[in-house]
Amino acid sequence: MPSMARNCLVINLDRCIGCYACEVACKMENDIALGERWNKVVQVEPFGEFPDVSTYWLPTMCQQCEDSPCTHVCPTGASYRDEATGMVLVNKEKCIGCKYCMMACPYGVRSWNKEQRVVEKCTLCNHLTAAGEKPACVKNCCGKARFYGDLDDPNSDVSKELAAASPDAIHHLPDAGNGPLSAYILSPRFGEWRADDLTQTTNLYVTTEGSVD
Amino acid sequence: MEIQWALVLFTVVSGAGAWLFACSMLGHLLKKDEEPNRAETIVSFVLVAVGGCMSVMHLSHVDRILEALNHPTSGIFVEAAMIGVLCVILAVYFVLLVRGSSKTARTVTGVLALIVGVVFTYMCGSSYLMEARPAWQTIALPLAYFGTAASAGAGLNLFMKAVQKRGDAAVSFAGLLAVIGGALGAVLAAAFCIAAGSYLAEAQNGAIAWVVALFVAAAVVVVCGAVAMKRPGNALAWGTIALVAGFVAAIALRAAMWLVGSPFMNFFLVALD
Repeated sequence: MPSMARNCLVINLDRCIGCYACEVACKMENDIALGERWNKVVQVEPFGEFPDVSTYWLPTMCQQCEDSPCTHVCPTGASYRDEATGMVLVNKEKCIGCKYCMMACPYGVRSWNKEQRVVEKCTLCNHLTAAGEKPACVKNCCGKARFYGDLDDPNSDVSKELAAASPDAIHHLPDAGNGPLSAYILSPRFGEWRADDLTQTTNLYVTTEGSVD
Repeated sequence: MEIQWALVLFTVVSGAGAWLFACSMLGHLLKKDEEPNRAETIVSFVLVAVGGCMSVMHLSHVDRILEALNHPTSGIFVEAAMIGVLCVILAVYFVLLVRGSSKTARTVTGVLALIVGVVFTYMCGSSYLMEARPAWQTIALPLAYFGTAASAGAGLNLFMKAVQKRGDAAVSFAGLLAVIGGALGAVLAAAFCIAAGSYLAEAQNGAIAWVVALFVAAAVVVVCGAVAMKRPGNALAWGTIALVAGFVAAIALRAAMWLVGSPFMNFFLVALD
């Protein structure tokens, strides 16, 4: 039996200019209401001592965890892993709105659709990718910083991008035992990966002021 | 994190019902009292059922609840299944009681209800064990749920015995159970507070006030139980106070739990209101 695909996004932060086009493209493509989002760019604020100061933008969305807590806790199977693509998805027709998946998501990247009263999240634009297209955020990234594909396919865009990156530049969001698949590329010459700061609820480094509502 | 009142009341009310029957059955098994009677069985059943209904208030699409059959290993399914099973067992016990069926059958059914009921109160807490909420990710949390449900149930049991004017031995034993229940709640809640200590210290949202209320209330249950144990003839007032204090302790533990439930990371900053 073939193993499940490991589709995800890889984002090269060395190329991300913080334009928020990915947020806008995601909202437009998926018809997401004001105040709701499936994709959000946070700025990891300038840090360091002048003149050695750096900053970077961190696009966040469902990390397509290998051991996804959201699918484990969902009482109805509304949050599930698609066997064909390996994607973690939400079947909104089954969602009872208990929000346990939102509590269980280690990154707080699930969204509540107030109108339909169901949980939503990044689908990797599976309606597009199933047709051979790229997700909207990838297509519309003007810095060409976002990549989509199967990590197990050496010819996929994500595999090629990761293979081209220096190993010390490849990062993942902090792992709470869930195994996030999505990867970020941030070269030391552009900035220091501030993973520990991200897990501090009162951290001083992350702002979301520029994020699109 | 915001207090989810529907879920708080769900586990407090149903847990108190489960522990009421368990305490009453325990008195019977230890030959301190008669078996749980109709009134106690009905009150237990109603509390468990009403508590279960309260959990539904948390849902936005109750109409899809049967979809839960798709994922029978989730915490919510296990809780719902145990509530259903407990209600059925309590109903069977009630029927056996009314029909005067064999004592052995009643005892076996009652013991089953006791076991399912107390395990249920632990399982309610275990549903919240998740890496995404570091303050909750401790075995002390379900134990605290178990312990504070025992505080509420034991307080209610003392009240029920006093209201029914049961014999001194029965009331005195109910007082002892209130002492044990209150102490169990205080000790196991303390274990959770210690485990979640750093999150509790950081919380600027009233969690500390709930923790203070929790320990004061648990202490009141212990004191009321001790007095009722010594002076069973005047137990109604103490039973009433123990009942209220037991519920307050159980509510306070759950409120504090929600308030310290900071996420591992929270990029979207979505409030779970």
